[in-house]
Amino acid sequence: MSDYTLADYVGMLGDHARMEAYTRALRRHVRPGHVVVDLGAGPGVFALFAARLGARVHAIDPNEAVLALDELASASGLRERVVIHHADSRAVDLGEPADLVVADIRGTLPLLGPGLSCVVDARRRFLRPGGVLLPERDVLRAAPLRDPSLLDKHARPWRGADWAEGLTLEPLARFASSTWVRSSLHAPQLLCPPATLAEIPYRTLETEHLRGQATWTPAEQSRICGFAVWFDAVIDGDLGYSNAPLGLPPTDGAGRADSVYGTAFFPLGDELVIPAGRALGLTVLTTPTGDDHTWTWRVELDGRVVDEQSTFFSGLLGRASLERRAETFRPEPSERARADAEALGRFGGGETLGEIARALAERHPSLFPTYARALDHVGELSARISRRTP
Amino acid sequence: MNQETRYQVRPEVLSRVLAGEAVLLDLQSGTYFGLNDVATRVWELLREPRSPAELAEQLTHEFEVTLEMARGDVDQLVGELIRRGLVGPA
Repeated sequence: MSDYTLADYVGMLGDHARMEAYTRALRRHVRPGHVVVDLGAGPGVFALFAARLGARVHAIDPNEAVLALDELASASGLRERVVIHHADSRAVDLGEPADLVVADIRGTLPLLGPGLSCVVDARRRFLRPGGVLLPERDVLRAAPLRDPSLLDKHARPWRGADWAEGLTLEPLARFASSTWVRSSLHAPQLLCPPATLAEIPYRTLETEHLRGQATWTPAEQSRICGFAVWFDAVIDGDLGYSNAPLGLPPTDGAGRADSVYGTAFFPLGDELVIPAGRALGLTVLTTPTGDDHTWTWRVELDGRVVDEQSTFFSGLLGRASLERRAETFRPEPSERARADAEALGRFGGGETLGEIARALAERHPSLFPTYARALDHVGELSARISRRTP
Repeated sequence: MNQETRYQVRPEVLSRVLAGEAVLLDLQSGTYFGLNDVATRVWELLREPRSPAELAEQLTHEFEVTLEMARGDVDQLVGELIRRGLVGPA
């Protein structure tokens, strides 16, 4: 579900507002004997918390951090109440209906990796009718930013600098501004009050596409360099937290998340002048692509598009890598692919990794000049996709 | 195909041209498409509303093709782009 390390989870555990909202919601709903799923569990702290409330818990995460729960649960005397699934939840069969599913699939913004797809799948397959899904919804909020120095770390350096001495770096400006980044943003940098961009209603959501729209009308002529975007997470009713820019009071009394989440900065290609009284519109679209999302944001003045950015423009810089994803592309296997196919063909045939590695090193000496290199490679393959013994 | 109807690329489709050839991403389906050099030129022309007749005429100026060949290619390509929802009536 993520590339988080244990150190990243420490930051999330230390976020008081987040932990307070989730643990109070768990206390509100979990009863002894309940079956609870901790989705994208990481080291499984929500799972542990639910287990202590008397639930039997399934902690699921493809990230190895979930294996740490073995030790954690034992230390709290709760090991018998916890089932650990080191797997993608979409491939897990619980074998029993769940009373509650708890998930935190956010990074700086919701829609982290395939998280949304996992939540929708878990709600459909795991949760019993009438069961509870935490969180309830996320509200995406946004506001235009007036601080031009924010662009200094994006497109601007590609548009010319003293040290460039006439080099033309402009072609990369397009890519640099087509990525939103985690930033530390403050309320005084906002040109206008926040507006609601979109809602992600996890308890009823059916689509992974998100389409948000917000409009502001600055009273005076202004310059903007991009938008601050953040979430107000509603975990359950009155329990929530937010990663709004610092100094901005969270809406609906939600707790203020620590800086672990930051706030997202969606840059423009360049500064934009907004004449007084004109309608400034922001549209944000997300498209599931593979196990991630392409984010696209369009800026409109009085309904006319004046700037468009998309992570489509910032990733996959080589034509070959884009082309090889096209529907019409007819792929040919590389030598590495043939070697992998051979290795995978031997999985399940009773051979050890050592025997498979020897065969591979013999047949593909240019890829694997030594037995150790071949063993390292098949070991990686096995760790990633061989069936896990329960 | 009606030669006079004007078509245009749909706003929900993003494109990037690398080494003269475009890769498209349909934001609604999340599907990527690749275009060859001639198709890429047609795609760029379709950023403004244009009819198949206008497109074919333009291609005869830019590539070594007869009007008849260009019409055949444009009909096939625009038909395919419409079928995949990448281009729509202007």
